[in-house]
Amino acid sequence: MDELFKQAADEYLNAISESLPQPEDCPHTFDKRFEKQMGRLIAKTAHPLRTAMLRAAASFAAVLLLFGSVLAVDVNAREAFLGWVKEQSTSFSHFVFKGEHTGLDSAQFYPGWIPDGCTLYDCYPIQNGQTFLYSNDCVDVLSFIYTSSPENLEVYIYTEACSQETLTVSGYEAQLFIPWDATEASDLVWQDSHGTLFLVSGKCDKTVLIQFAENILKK
Amino acid sequence: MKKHIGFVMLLIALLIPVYAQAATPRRPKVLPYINFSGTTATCSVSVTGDSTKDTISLTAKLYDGSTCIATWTDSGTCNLNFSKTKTVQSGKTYKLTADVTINGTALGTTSATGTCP
Repeated sequence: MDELFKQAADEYLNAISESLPQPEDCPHTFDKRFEKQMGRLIAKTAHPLRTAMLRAAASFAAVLLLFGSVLAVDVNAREAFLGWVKEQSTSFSHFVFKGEHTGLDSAQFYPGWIPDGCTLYDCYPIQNGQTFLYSNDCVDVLSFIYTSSPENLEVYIYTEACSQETLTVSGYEAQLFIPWDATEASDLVWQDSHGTLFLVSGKCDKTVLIQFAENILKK
Repeated sequence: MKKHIGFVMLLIALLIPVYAQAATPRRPKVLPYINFSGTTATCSVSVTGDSTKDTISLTAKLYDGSTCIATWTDSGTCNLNFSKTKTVQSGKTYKLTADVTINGTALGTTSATGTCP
């Protein structure tokens, strides 16, 4: 029975193929944009290594753009360190310190302003830094973390399904990670010229998060 | 009419798991750290959740090359500040891995590497 169906299907397929006009009888022209896009796609498929290298180069350029300004404007900073560099894994963006560090910055920081309705939930030291957690009535957490530890420490933030935006916090370039799901927390990361990495996070409006970040003060 | 009710029920049944999955993920901050004092390695992991109700589970492992020499577990609500020590050998490089689960969802492995001076 299966053979019979297969034979009928083959005959049907042949009949359809024969009923179609020959390609030379169908003059056609694709528009230039389509041709260009197809050309790019074919080149990508034909040269996967080149595509991967271009992607790596683009990522490196983005890192340079993000953290380059600190080194460009502060000569002492350039001599002291290279800085925290963002690396991307499947679900996380992680920040790792690269380069020589002349010594730890022992400066301490604290939030100088917190949004209305937030109260201190917890506060504890971490390696060469501190974590501050605030909560509101909706049990949402607003956090501030900083660390100046250059070695053996990495900072991971979960950035799957996020869009990224570059902006300025206290004169330093910062990276804002905004989740596509508006009910989830956004993360804002930046570093100062002494090699301290700052991270603020919360389920609040972008302007509130920036205001919170702009008001981080040195003790 | 019965067909319509059946179709709506099927649609609801299909949407329930999608909604539950979308509500689960959180965006934790994870800071693994390894510090050495003599031949004692202090392995620390700080995890911060987005809600005071987030339940956090951690499995931390210390590797000497590809050999796991210590495994620890810990859990907490909202945040977790884990720290344990292990005797190690001078001159060797060790890797601390931290597998974090938030509200029952595993979020992948994070790590930090250090060499015992």
